[in-house]
Amino acid sequence: MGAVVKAGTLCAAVLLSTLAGVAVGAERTGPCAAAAIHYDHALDLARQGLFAGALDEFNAAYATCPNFAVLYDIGQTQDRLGRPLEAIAALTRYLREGADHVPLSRREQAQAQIALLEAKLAELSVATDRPGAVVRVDGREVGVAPLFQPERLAAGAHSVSATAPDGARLTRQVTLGEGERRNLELSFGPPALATPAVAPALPTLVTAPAPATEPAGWTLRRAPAILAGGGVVLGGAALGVYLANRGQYQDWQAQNQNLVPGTMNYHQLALANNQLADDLTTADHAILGLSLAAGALVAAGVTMFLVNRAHGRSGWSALW
Amino acid sequence: MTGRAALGSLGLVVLAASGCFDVHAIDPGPAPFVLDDFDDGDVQPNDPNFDPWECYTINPQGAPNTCTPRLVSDGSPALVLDATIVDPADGLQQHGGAELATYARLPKDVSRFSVIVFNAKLQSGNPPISSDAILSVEIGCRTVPDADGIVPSRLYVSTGVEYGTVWTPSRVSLRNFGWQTWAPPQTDAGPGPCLQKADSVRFSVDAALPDGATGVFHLTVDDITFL
Repeated sequence: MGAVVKAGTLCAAVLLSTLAGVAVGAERTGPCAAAAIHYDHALDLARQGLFAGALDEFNAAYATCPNFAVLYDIGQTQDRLGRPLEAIAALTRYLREGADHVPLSRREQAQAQIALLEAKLAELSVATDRPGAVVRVDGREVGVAPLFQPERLAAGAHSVSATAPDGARLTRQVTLGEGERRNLELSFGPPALATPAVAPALPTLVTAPAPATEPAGWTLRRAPAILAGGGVVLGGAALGVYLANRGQYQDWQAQNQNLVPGTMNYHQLALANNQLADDLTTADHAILGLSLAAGALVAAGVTMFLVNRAHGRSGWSALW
Repeated sequence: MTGRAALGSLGLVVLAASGCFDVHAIDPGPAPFVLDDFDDGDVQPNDPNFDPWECYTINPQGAPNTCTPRLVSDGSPALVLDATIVDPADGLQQHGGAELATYARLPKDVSRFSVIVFNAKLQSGNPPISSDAILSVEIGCRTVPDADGIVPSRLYVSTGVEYGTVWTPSRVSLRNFGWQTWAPPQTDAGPGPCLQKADSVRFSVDAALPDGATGVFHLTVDDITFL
């Protein structure tokens, strides 16, 4: 499957760009004439491996004369630039805008690529001890604490900051791996209080100090979500393998129906078809393995969730 | 929600366990066996186990029948049999004819093939042969014992094929081959035992001349292949 998607990615600049080029080139009047120039330039840059420049030109072509096919090129270029989120967005938009005009095989390929890209995304959950703190990732505001959903990010280094309502600011650098789920706690400590003029008389209470951290509890609380999330990722990978090989399966079916024993090329075609069957069987085994692992992880996560709830915590929100 | 999640995961597992791609391997059969396409310009078959093509006259004994094999280039090199057949005026139709044949030194198993394909044309000369002339393909198997247990035997299986006076592609199923009733084998099985020990391939023409007639014919064959 990886080879299929990799090959699809490598060929994309040529194959789909050709299609898009035809589409753009067919309307070389008005703004689309300028778009065609941008587009041709983008192809030249892509062929030279200058993807950043190619992306600019693709974007310019699309902005000048919106043609859904260019979105595919934008998606491929973003992928080559290591920007999975942007690639997913472009490919999703390509499928949406292209609608019925996208050939079935191309749609399946794009969907499989999206699934793979999503499987590679990391998730970062940010928590702070200051409600109302503005959280930013790589300078982009992602919300105000408390955040209830993890942020999907590309693998790599990211800068995370939280700015409390009183102006205090914390910044952390995190490096995420592909598909990694990470929790980040930004702790400001107790807020500064104004000293009262006269200290009130306080009742004397004997209380046990709260533990500063609970590593074991932390792990237990989050394990169900981690397990279930892992299961979902593996399930997505299984789906990706399936989608990536569905075209081959259709080829196998078509060839199988056309095989006529006793014809001159039967032997050769049968051998080729058997090779295809072997490849599909391998893919089938991969899907089975991934699905079983996904099911086991989700089941384990659900089980742990139920155990946690039985111990007094309720709801997924309690996990975070 | 947890129930739905559990059911979802179970469904995923069941879906995967049922198999996504229902594929199976098929028997590719043996690689095509090109007995001879004559493209090398000689009468030696492609398989060196087979001796060069020769011709033989058939029936009646003592008749002045003649045959000559030669190569021609008719689009591509092909093998021609020129034959003159005489049916003596003795009150009997002798079914004289001639054949092109190649004999193998060691038996070859052709039973895994399903068909034999070739191109052929049968043209009458002067005087012509009968329009009822019969073209047959014969596969010999001398190492298969005949009904009397004699080895080497004269056993072979054969089948008639349609022909024309211009190039006619023939495609003959090996299942259509049958034993000659005048030379039965020991076994009651079909042509399988003979096909498993094939040691000759022959293209035979029964000129079907009436009693006392003489006929000339030219049999051309090319691209003989087992598939």
